[in-house]
Amino acid sequence: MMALIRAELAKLNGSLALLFMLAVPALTAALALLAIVTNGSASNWNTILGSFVLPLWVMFIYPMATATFATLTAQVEYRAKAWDHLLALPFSRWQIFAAKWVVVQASLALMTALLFAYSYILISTGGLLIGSMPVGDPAFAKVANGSLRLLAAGMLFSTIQLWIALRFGNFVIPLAVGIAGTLVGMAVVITGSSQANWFPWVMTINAAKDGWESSVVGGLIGGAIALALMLTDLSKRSLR
Amino acid sequence: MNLAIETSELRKSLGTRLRRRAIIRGCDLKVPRGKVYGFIGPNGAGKTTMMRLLLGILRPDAGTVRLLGHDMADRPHVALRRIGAFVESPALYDHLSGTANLDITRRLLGLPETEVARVLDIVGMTRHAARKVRDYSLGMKQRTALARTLLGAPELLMLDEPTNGLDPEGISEMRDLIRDLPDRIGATVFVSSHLLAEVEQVADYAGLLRDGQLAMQGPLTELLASERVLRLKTDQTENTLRILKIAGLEPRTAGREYIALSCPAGEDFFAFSAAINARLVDAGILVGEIVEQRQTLEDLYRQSAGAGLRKDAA
Repeated sequence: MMALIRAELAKLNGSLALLFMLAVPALTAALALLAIVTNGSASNWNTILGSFVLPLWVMFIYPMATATFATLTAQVEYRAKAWDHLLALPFSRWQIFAAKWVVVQASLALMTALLFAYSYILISTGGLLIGSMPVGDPAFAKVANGSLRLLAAGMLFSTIQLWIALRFGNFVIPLAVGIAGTLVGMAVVITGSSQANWFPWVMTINAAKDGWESSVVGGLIGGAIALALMLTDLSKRSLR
Repeated sequence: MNLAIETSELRKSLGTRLRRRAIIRGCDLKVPRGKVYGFIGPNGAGKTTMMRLLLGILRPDAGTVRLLGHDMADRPHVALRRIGAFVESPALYDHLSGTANLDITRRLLGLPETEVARVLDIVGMTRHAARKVRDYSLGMKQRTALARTLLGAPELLMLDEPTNGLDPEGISEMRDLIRDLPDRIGATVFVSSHLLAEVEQVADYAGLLRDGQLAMQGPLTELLASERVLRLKTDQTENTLRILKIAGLEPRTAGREYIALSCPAGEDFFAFSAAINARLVDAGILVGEIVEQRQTLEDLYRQSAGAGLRKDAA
């Protein structure tokens, strides 16, 4: 299994998926930089990270980035027409797909970590440029806690995204699902409805709010079930 | 016979539940070890489906597959560890170098680092291995894919249309590579192709797949010698055809001026040729040329197609 995970990581080297993984958190952090430079002053770290960077990430960029990253990862195999080669290797099929899942989940965690690292660097740079550093403490422990909740709650929808991306060779399908899921999630939050807390794309948003426990538990349990179904389904399929 | 590949009554249908089409219809493939086996058939005959069934990529609807003596229904990865394969396309990652592509598979198979250099040398790609695959020609991609199948010195190589898309020079190079593999690495080579002349030049054994069934199979020399054909040229082609038909034979024109005639099974070829010559001369026909026509895979293929059509018509 470790050999398969290492192989998946090696495939990302020089790929569009890797570029995307590194660039998207940087672009999000750049938006925070733009905001404080345009504003001419930086408020405190808590406001910038907790009320700007994290909501932007959770509500829109993270689900969209998940859809795109899962699609790019699956397309590495589809574009190379490498499924037959991969499935003819001496490994159980479920291990091949499980390795991809591990790499996608780890990459999403890395993207979230990079978001806050980039944000700290760029916002500090912006503060120096405008001569007004954000006050207070960046509270990295709180940020890490929020990120872990996000990743746990997001396990269900990120597994669904990867499943669809691996299942269909046409990249439009997983992207369309990602866009639709993200927009529905945003609509649910904007309308303040609590009727759709079960919706996978809403779980991540709710994980950043009070009463996050049910979203995190739902995301983890749902994610585990979705993973089992994904491995079972893909192991039976002929991918080309 | 010690077999590298053995299938029994293998069947597979593909398509939706409402529109299923039988692709493989009861195939009994027998590939002896240490030989090059040419698996031939027209496009769409089911060669790639067969290859995917053999490798366990597709599950058969019925029948069994044994690779290197191992039943593929039971832990197929045990046999797959001893097999190198490429199916339909080179399947290389364009954004990586040739070396990086091979290294991924090397690591997966748990092989030493020196293995990549060894296989690149065999296929003559050492000089280009550091370049990104996206910059390779199709021939270079095919060679690199072949190198990947050689990782770990497999006992069985399964190559699906390895000359697809290559120019004549590339085809010739690939042919030489494949022909030498049993001697160089001691492997059995199972190569599928629709290019009959290519297979004829590399294979020791051949199997012809037509409409999902093996139309014929065996040592190539025996297959090609299974029917002896007389080719003759006379000064009166139409008259010759008529006389031979009256004699109960089935002559056919071969080219503009030649007539081909199959020697009936069990009959001595020399006596048959002499009798035909005498009959034509007695009828006042000048025989300018009377020789044995060497059978090719293409002839066998055409005959099998004809037999198939006759069977369909019946």
